[in-house]
Amino acid sequence: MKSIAELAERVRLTDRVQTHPMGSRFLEGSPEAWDFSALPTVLIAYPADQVVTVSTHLSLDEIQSELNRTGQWIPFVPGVATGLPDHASLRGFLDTRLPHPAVGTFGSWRDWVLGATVVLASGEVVKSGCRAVKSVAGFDLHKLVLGARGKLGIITEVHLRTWPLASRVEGESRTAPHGLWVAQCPFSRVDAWREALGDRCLEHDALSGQFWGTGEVPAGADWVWHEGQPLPEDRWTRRALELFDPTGKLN
Amino acid sequence: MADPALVVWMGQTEGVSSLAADLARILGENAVLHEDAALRAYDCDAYTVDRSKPQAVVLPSSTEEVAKIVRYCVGAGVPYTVRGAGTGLSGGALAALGGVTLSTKRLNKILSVDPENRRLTAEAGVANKRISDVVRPYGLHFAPDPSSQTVSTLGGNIAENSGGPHTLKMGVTVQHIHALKMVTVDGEIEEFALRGDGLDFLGVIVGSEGTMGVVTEATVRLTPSPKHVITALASFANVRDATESVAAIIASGTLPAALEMMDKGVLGALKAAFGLEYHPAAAALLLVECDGDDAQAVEAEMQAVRQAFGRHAALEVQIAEDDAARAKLWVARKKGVGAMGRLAPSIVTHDGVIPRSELPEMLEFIYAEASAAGLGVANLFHAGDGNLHPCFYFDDRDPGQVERVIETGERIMRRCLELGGSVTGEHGIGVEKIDLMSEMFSPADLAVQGLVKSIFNPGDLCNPCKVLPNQKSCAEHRKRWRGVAW
Repeated sequence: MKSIAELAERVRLTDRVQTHPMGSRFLEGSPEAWDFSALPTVLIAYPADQVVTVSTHLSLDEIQSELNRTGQWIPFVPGVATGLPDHASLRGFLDTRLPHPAVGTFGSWRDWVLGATVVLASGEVVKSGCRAVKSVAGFDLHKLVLGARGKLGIITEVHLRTWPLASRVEGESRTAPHGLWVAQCPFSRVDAWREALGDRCLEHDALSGQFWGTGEVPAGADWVWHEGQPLPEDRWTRRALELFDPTGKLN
Repeated sequence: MADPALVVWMGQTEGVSSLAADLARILGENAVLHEDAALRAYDCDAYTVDRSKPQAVVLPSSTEEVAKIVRYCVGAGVPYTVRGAGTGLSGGALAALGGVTLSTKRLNKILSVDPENRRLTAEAGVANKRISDVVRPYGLHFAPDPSSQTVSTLGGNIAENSGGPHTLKMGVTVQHIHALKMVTVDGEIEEFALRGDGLDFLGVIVGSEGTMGVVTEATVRLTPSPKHVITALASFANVRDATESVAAIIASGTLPAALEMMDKGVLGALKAAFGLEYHPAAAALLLVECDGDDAQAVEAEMQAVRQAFGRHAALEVQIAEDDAARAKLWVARKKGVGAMGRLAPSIVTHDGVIPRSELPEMLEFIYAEASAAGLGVANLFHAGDGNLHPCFYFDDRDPGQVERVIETGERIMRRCLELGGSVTGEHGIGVEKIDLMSEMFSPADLAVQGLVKSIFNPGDLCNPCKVLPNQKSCAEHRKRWRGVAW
């Protein structure tokens, strides 16, 4: 595939699309995943605006090193949940809304994605949002596709907020044990969670109250992110999937 | 062809009296308004260009009552539109097809305050500022602070994904909502919360302008109020020095809590209305606030801001470190809009966004356009995030001026799009900007937005004719409400 148009045409014609990038547990790697590496690459940094427009088949590492040259970075701080190989693509991070341990300082994907280009199951290519840091025009497809595991469409390009390098926090990418979860702990329970988790607590962001751990999640979590867990099967998710991908071809 | 079920509700008195009687049977007489004078008060929100009266206004007191009304409307095929304080600036609360206006006025309870977990649960009709007032003793506040915050409601803020001066650093409403309760278009009560896994429905519902259901309650995230705040007001001899200072501040890596700009038009209005005087040579003011818990870090940020001022020839910089002095510096920003109201019989405030580095060029474009059209313009806006609010003042008794205001506004919005921005940063699309949607998005983009909406609202009764252009039955009705104020 040498263009987004060609990708879109292939999506339109086929009845099965596997887009998860290979090589990562978190991103449900699959040998059948389509190869996006020949797609044209977009990486336009707007350091004065603190925004980057970027193809999602690039790896986060590649994007960071290009951005660093403009004095910017994406404040995704590696940690235990990000034991990803170098070639894990940005799209994998977006498809899973992969959490990171400096969320309390910088926010995360939900706060950073300002707009997106998405190839739908129908083969149509659509855009949502824009590259200004603030916009309330229309219904936000770019929010809905985040964390959707590629099941509502293939995110091919995004506008992301960036931060000045001066704010950079060094993280250490570590390979996570199996059964990793990330959970939002209400502030009133933080001490109880620390005690209950003991060595099973792998990371903790005091500013946000998020915990990274293994084994049983302590009681009272606002939400839990589980490695490799399928999308929840609630009424609204089912409806979204029926509307966006009626034949179930995406992932 | 209009949907016959909808036509019934367009001004036919027979249907109206039975509608009001039905609603009164459900909620009681004192929760229904249907006198013509009362309905006229609900024929528009703060966007007064388009007007359309509802056939009845209901004032439910609970989520369950809202659900009863929605179920009735769905059963009878009556359009319904939710309304908070009516401060919306794009016509989001306009009863575009008539029907029922569902006011949140009586949904005014704060249900729980949980300072330890920094959250508060309130009904949709609670005023924004009341939330911050209630939690101030705990050193907390609700970060979104639209200019309308003394009256605008939590539900309205959620519908419009409201911003405000302090959302530059803290983020807009969607970043401060933990969970919400919504009456769906089939009259069921559902809760949506932030989730780690799965689709971010909360993120889609916030900002959907009341078209996906009726939000009746929300749990909001409270933000610790910063221990240290320093505010600066700088004056500049020309607008370019001010806008380039904004770019320099952002480029330095400083993210102030607020970064607001006022130009000469605003200064003139402040002088005429309130006798407020600033530096005699000032053509623009920048108001910058830095905050945080670490006094040294806040100092350092303000130092970077002052360096940017210095490099861009600031005429004067006033600094405030306590609340009283700070309030004085904010006067120009807070009173600016009111002051402009006295400049001419009418004002129209636009809302567009550009990537912030384009500010210098964009402001020059606005002045050139206003001058070519012979219109007065004043700019008072959120410079830090590139969110412009050019405000035209004119005489609405002169149809020629009205026409030119509309055309100039559209040219400015198109320029925002050419520069990579948006036709609205915080006021919403509503009915006001519905035509501009087709300029910002392709037909395919709009079709998929229609899909997003139809996850929650596949029909056309819940706040019809908003956000998306070319909705069924709207075009012909639009002729009725378009521009009737003029």
